[in-house]
Amino acid sequence: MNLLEVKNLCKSYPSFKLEDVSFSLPKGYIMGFIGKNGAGKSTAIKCIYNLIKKDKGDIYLLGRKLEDISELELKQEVALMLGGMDIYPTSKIGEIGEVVSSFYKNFDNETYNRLLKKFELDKNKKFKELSNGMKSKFLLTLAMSHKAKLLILDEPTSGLDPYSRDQLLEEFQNYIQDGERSILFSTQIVSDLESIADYIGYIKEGKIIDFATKDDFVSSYKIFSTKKEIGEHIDPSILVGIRESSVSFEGLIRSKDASKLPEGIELSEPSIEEIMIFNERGK
Amino acid sequence: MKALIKKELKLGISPACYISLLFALFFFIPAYPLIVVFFFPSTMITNIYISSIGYNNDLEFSLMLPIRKKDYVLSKIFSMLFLQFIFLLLSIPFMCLRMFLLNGIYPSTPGFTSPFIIYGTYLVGCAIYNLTLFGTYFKTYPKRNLAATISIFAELIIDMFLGVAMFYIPNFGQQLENNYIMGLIYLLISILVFIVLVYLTYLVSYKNLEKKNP
Repeated sequence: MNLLEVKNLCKSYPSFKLEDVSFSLPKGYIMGFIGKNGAGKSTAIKCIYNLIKKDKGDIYLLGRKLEDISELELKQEVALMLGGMDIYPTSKIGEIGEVVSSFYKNFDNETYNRLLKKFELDKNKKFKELSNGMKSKFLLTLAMSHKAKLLILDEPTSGLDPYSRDQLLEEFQNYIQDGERSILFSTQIVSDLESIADYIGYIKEGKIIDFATKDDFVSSYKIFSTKKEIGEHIDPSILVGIRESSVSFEGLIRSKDASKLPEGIELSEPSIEEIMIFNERGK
Repeated sequence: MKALIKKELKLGISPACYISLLFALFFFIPAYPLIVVFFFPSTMITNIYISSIGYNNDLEFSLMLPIRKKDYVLSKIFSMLFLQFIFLLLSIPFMCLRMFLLNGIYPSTPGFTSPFIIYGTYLVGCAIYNLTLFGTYFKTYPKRNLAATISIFAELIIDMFLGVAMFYIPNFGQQLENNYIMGLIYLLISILVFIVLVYLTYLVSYKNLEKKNP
């Protein structure tokens, strides 16, 4: 069963358009939603959470059409965390936690206190006294403590040090362990996705250019490096993106086009980060 | 709604709002027009309150919680009215002190001194202020300067209108001031106008928030 299904989602602003965005996320999996700044990740997420009204398309949450779910039910079952948000700077985080917990029928104080302890968050500290990383951890603690079936995270790891990111990724794995919950995880730190994402959705200029399981996504691309004079003679139509220097030529192609490359060029599997970088660089 | 009110009291209302209630001490300034004493809480305290919505990222965060947009709007209006009513309650003993104990000591006060007129005008002023402030704020969010300016002007115009009427309409001031029945009618009409405007504030604010993509 899909916990989230987005079909042909469209949203227009004067300077930006989300066009026919479609993807789905089955129960028990983590999906990485990648794309550069302004690609449309946050807009899509806000449409899914019904914070902004979509122009067209269908969104299904927990198997039901978004329009058929009440605002309250949606927010009980789906948690949203927007990274980099400053909330109630002068309030103590213990106080914020106490207030937030009163809104949820399934708020789990045990998980909440465990995560506070794990992330070394002091309840008596004011929100403004936390570092950016600690703020993200606190917001995540709140989002993960009410047992939402679907966790939507927008840039949750921004500002975190590698150790904290690792701690968090471990928590994400624990979160979906029972097979009943899923996480949609938008990020620019794509290296985070290498270890935990099951699906990848790649959005560029408001359009989904790839949606697949992580393995299929990665294996659908190949990366190569060759001498500049050889690279310059490669058919440009098969190149997704290139990086040139005075002597070398690196390129990303679709795996299906591998046979169209000149003989002798060695291909390797790119990382998610390389796929994104080359896609954004273009030809 | 209970959780929302708890959120408002614990996180939404800045301590500066409560400190600003000390404007009630203006009652003790000799010959200070009473209507002006009431002008400050309905504008300044609430302006501090509205600025804290943006400072706290309250709207964005609240809409992520299991809260309906219409309940969010209601909670904001509730908080505003809560502050304005605290001031009103706080003003009653001060008003009594000023009217009875300090009456012979202080020089005569310019403008209206009848509690009916003062409180009636205060309620209408607050309602006009809330309507223009919230109505504009939820339309122009996250900007708040336009909402603050328009609302202060709106209340100022109401107070000025009353002042001008008192001056130019023969016997209008004296009738309201000295005739208790007239004063009471004025207060009752003001309460009615206040209730209608509070409801209108809710409708307009909710409509504007719905249109807005926060």
